[in-house]
Amino acid sequence: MQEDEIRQLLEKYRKGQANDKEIALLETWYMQWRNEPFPVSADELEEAKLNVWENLSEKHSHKFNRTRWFAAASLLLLAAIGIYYFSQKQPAGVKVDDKSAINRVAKDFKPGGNRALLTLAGGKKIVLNNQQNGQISVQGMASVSKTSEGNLSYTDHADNSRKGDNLTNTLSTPRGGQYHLTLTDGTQVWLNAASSITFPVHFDQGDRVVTVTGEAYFEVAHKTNNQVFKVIAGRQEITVLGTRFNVRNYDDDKTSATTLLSGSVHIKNTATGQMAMLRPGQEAKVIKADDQLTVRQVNAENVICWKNGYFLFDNQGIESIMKIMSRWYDVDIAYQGQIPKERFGGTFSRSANLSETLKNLEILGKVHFKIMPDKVIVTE
Amino acid sequence: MVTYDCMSDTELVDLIAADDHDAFAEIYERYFGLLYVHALKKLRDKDEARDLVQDLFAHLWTRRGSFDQHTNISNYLYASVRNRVINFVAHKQVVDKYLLSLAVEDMKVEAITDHRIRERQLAGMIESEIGALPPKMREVFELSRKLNYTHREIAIQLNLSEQSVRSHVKGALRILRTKFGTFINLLLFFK
Repeated sequence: MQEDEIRQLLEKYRKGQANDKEIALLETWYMQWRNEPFPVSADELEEAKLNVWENLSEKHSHKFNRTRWFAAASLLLLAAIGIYYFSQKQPAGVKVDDKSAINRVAKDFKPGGNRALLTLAGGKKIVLNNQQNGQISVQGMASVSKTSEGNLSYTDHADNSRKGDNLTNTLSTPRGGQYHLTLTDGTQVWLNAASSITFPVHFDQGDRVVTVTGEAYFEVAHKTNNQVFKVIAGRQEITVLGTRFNVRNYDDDKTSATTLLSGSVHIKNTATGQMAMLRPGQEAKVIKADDQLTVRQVNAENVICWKNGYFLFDNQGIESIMKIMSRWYDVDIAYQGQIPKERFGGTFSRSANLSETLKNLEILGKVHFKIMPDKVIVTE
Repeated sequence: MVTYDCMSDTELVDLIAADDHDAFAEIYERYFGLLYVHALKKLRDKDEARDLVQDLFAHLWTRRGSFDQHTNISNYLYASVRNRVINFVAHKQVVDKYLLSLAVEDMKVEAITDHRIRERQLAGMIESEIGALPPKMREVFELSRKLNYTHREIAIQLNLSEQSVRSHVKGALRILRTKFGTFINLLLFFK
């Protein structure tokens, strides 16, 4: 193919006069033209990607910024909490030197709150913190309502003619979110931060099956026909009739755990087939690295303190504590130098600002924190 | 967690059509690298390649309303980048600079008249550049391919439409998304 020919084709194309055959020729030529890769480094690529994204975001300003979907809501919340906090806090005469107080205020991270995203059967997503109380949707045979701040409830819809597929919904919380959910069978679920539950909107005759990521506390309603309730959390499969228990299964944790408060549960590690029955006060732990399932006695009420508004640490390493902080305060954690080996215990309020919680931890042992605009740095 | 990373392209396109910015961001994550590397290969100029890909994504967002579930977003993006490069070459005053290299290459070209074959070849060519991407970008793209594949496979096996499989599978995928291996389990599960 000669230069002239290409030139003519391009010229026609430019004028919009190229016919189908000429376009086909041009497009075929295109695939053979200049096929040697142009050298570009990984850094350059990342930079270009970031750069173009920023330009796109700027052009459309608020239209498609990748800031999370709850950013606007949380800003309002922060402002409100902030004003409340200062009006409460300052006159108390707490010993803080002014400079560090200002420093902290400028960079502090506020605690999480009632935030969640509901994904309906068709894939439609609803940010619950932006919703008014009242009915949100009808999903198959169930009606979905936000009953109050932080509560979502499913009830069997009066109109039972709406048969069809049994639909599945998903409720998920971001970092810094939590939510309470009531299923159509009366089972109640509290979702901790960075977690999700996928469930049928209506329960038929078979097993009641839900899947969970992250952490959730269940109060399962007992059914008269002894219909079992099954929770699938990673490789844990938990089978119960009616009981209270907590499931923890974060992707970034080394272990997953099921803790029983009352009743009895049957737990199975689906990877190994290993099984255990738990009695109240027992916890089944699976170490992800080798899939070993072990059962031990714990203070089960301590495990669900998150649901009651506080953190409780019992002889816990700083890394696992900071993971919990990161999820609740929606902040990243970095370590400088050695990771402190010391173990910590104590009870802290989940409604305090991050700076206050960290200050209290600092008092307890040899660990220091620096709150940066985008993360917390942990040093010995 | 909002997990756009475990959605197939088609699901994301549905969301984009409904003004979902995060779904758009996920498509950007998946395709920016490949499109940019491709534009760079053809234009051999970083600024020009950057502008071209930026316009392409801006345009994608502007006309998001015209997408439906039959839109194959990767084919759309690949055709867009090709058309934009051809347009650029045809329009710019730099046309001489570009055409100089054509004479040297002086190749034999037989037009491929079936546009579906051209489409497939173009996709193959652009995606073959995957190795040039940094590991993180590569992973994001490869995961998206696996997701698309999974939905199609299940649809074939169950004799369902892809659309209905997507809504069924979505929940399960969210749980399983951590490891590629688990997709195999999912397939077995549906057999």
